[in-house]
Amino acid sequence: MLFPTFQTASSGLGVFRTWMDAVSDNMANLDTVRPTSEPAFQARFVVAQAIGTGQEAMTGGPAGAEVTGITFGDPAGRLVSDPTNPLADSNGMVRYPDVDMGDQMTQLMIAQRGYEANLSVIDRAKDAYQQALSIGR
Amino acid sequence: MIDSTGSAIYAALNGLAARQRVIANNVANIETPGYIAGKVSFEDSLRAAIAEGDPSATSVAKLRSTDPVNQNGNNVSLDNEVVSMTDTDLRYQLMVQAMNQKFGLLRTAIGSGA
Amino acid sequence: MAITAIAGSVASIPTTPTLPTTGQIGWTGGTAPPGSIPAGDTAATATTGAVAGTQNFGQSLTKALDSLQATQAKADTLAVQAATGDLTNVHDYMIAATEASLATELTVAVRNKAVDAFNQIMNMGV
Repeated sequence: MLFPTFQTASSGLGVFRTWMDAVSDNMANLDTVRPTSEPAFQARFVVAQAIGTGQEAMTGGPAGAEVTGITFGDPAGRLVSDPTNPLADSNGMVRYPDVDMGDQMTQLMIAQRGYEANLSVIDRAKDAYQQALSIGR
Repeated sequence: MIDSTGSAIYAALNGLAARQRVIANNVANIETPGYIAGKVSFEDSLRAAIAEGDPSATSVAKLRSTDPVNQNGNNVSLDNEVVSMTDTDLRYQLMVQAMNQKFGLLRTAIGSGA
Repeated sequence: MAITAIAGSVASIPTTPTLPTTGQIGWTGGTAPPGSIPAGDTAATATTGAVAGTQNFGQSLTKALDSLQATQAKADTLAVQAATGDLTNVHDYMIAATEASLATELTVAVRNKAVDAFNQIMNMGV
């Protein structure tokens, strides 16, 4: 790419977008019930790492962030007593996922702000380069 | 009147225009099930052609993107398309400036001024 | 290319003065010309020392005339790099292109004035 800033900001967009996807997956599965014989729905956590050492960013080399993997939350989940549930075991317990909605909402807001921040980087860089294109005119 | 540099700029303009069209097509098909995003590649061909000494021998190739598909079978990533679109747009403006500058030199030499 | 031919023709007109470094047109060398600041003057070194390392205006014009071909070649190289997407700094190309344009305009202006001067001399009458 001609403008390395765009590449870097685009990698940031990818990371925050993946984070939002993971949060939406967790939120969609807030009430996914499993029997006690199986592990509960595990919350998804995105693992992100910086690309490069930061020195390359000065010369226009690879920089930014990337998602290196997904880790999963606690498989034990919360044991809840729900005898009327068809999946309940002999004690009337089922497993709910160990996902806290407040925590997920906070993560969602942080991811959204991060996404918007990277979009703003792209916008400002575009303005700066357009100014550079009018040198000498 | 166009020398080898001008010919390289012209090849880049063609490649970038093709890329803009493909990006517009991708963005239009962002919700189409089973749609695979397209990508335009001309830089490597242009580099090789310049090394050979004939930039007009550049070929503009349309490839299929290898990004993973989502549940719809669609693999268009809006972030990448928007960033690509901005980059292509700015490069196109830069190439137009370059072309204008080349012709401007000739015009100055001829003497009709700016 | 057409531009280099013009630069060559400028150099071959015998009466064209080269811009001297002391800033006085027509001076062809020797000791300091009348009216110029002597080298030992501390005020001179203070004023010229303040911009030590940069050229004065006459020197930069001479340099522009001499390096027209190099300036254009540099702008061309950067343009080809920009075309293949290998250019990291856009402003590098824009500045090189502006320099090439201005150097060309300078050369053409000097050529025009030299041709005018030549014609005036030719029309002076016997």
